[in-house]
Amino acid sequence: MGRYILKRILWMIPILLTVAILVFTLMYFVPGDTAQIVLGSSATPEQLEQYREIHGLNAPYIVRLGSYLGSILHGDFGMSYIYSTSVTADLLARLPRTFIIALGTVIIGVIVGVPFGIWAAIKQDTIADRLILVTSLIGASMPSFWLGLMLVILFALKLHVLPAFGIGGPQYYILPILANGVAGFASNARLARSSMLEVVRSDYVTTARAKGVSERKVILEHALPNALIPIITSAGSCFGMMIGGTMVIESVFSIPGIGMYMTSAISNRDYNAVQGSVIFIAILFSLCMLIVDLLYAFVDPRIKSQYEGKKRRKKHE
Amino acid sequence: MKDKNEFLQVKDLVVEYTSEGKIVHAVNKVSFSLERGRTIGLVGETGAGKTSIAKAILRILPEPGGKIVGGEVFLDGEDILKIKEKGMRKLRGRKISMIFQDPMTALNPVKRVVDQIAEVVRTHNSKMSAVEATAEAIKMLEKVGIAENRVREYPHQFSGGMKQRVVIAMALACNPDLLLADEPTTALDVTIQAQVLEMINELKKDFNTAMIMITHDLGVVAEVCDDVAVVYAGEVIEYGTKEDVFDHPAHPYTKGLFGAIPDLNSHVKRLSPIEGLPPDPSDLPEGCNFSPRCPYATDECRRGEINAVEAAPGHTCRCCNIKAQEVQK
Repeated sequence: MGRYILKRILWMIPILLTVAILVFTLMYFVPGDTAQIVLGSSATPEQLEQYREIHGLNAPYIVRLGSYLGSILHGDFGMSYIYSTSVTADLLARLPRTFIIALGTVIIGVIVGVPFGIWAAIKQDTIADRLILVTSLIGASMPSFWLGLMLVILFALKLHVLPAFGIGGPQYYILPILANGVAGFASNARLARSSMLEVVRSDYVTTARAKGVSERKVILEHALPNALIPIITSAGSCFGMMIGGTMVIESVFSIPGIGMYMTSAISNRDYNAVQGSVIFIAILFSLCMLIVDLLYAFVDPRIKSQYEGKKRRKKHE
Repeated sequence: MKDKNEFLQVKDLVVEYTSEGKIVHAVNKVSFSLERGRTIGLVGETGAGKTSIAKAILRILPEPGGKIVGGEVFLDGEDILKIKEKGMRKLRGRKISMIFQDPMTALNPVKRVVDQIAEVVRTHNSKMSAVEATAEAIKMLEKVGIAENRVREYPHQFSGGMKQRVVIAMALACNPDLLLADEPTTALDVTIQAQVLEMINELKKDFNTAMIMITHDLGVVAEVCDDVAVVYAGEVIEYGTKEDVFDHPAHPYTKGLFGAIPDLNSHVKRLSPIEGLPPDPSDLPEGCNFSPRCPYATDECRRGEINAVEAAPGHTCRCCNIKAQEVQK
């Protein structure tokens, strides 16, 4: 198992390197002059030239790429052109907020969505099932920014119980998580329902019933563990996507997280900040996927024995 | 059919499936009975309704879709189709248990083998601790020839034959009075088949278990069964002791089955199958279900319900012109 984790972490290096090169190259060829953007239209040609010289912007592509990759390896994403702060420090400072929203969203999706999905599967073709299906369809069709605004109108403007935007205590996170979580709930409920339906019809569930095991145990102990794999995949990648994808919800609620940082960096042409955010998100996403894969092994012994490799299997034969 | 003291008595059992709005008549008025310690073989083609009969007795037909529409199943004089689900659960695994057809899919892939067996033991002996149940499960697995050092493995680490043994151990773990063996050897290769049959026979003798052996293999029937019921399109078309049915087959279908077995000692270029295919169970023919394929069919066969007649005492056959066949011979 340890070997597998090590192998997976080593694999992240070429993936992240590719992402870094791609992002850097794209940003390099994007039209626009960094010096001009930073110094504004009133800057003289001399000032511009001086700025380029100081920041190494005149060096050829390959040299700049090399020095950028070198600094990334030291965990340094460079300085923000706009704020003259360290991009790494900025991202790390914003990470917890985004993390809370992403985690909350996934938890709502899993804790609420999965049980409802299972319930729908057990009660297949009854009113409860239909109701859950329709609810999740509505949930999936509501864009989170619209839902966010509706929630603000209801809870902040009409009822005055929750803050409308910004950060502060935990209450500031309730509406963003709720707005974001509904879509997660919908997709998880549907996924849990369909994967449960598939498993409930399988032979080993019939075997469990034939043993005289109670229906509750049949569902929770025999069917659910087998239905979990697709749910873990979806919840895991959902969490990974959320880290980068909370942009919309962070903008709606003015939460200074990674998403907001990246959107403002893009509109300001803050090249280092954009590159840094993208690579940072790629790192977090890969880590999420690693955790998902490790969870698989925890849930399914067949996958675990695959990870453990041929050595152990040979010992058995 | 026989007296009420029989251990198991199935009377006019009817099972239907609903699929895409069509009603599939899987089991149509099946009756048979069984004494303790004896084995009845349900013989028939794939899709004849054999497994549905077994699942109906255990009341584990797939839901939604499968439904017991009529009939009675008496176990020790009690109609188990009328028991509440909770009471039925106490019978499953303890009094009646089932060996499933496909060992590859019958075991839960994410549970350790020993735990899957300990679960039955513990479900029906609530006073037993988990440790005791595990010890019992290990004992059971050793009985079917699985060494203790393998019991904590998962099903995917087992070969097909070993999985089948696990399934058998699971079915026998609580010494059931009635064992439903659904093609226990079909998924196995011939050498292991013999071992498994021998094992089932021995265990059956040890526990005086009554058994319903579902199979399409007449060789298996010859080896383990006392009585035989030939199932065709959800009906028992011939029923009697093994000797009666094997030595004096009465129904044209049974005769066809035996005729289709190639003789090792004679040179034949082609096998002699029964012409045609079994009828679509959602659209059964009027009268005798076998009439479209029957070489002896007359107009009488295609009209109304065919009643079972006695070909010999205790040997019944659902055919309206056994006599006519005799004449044609």
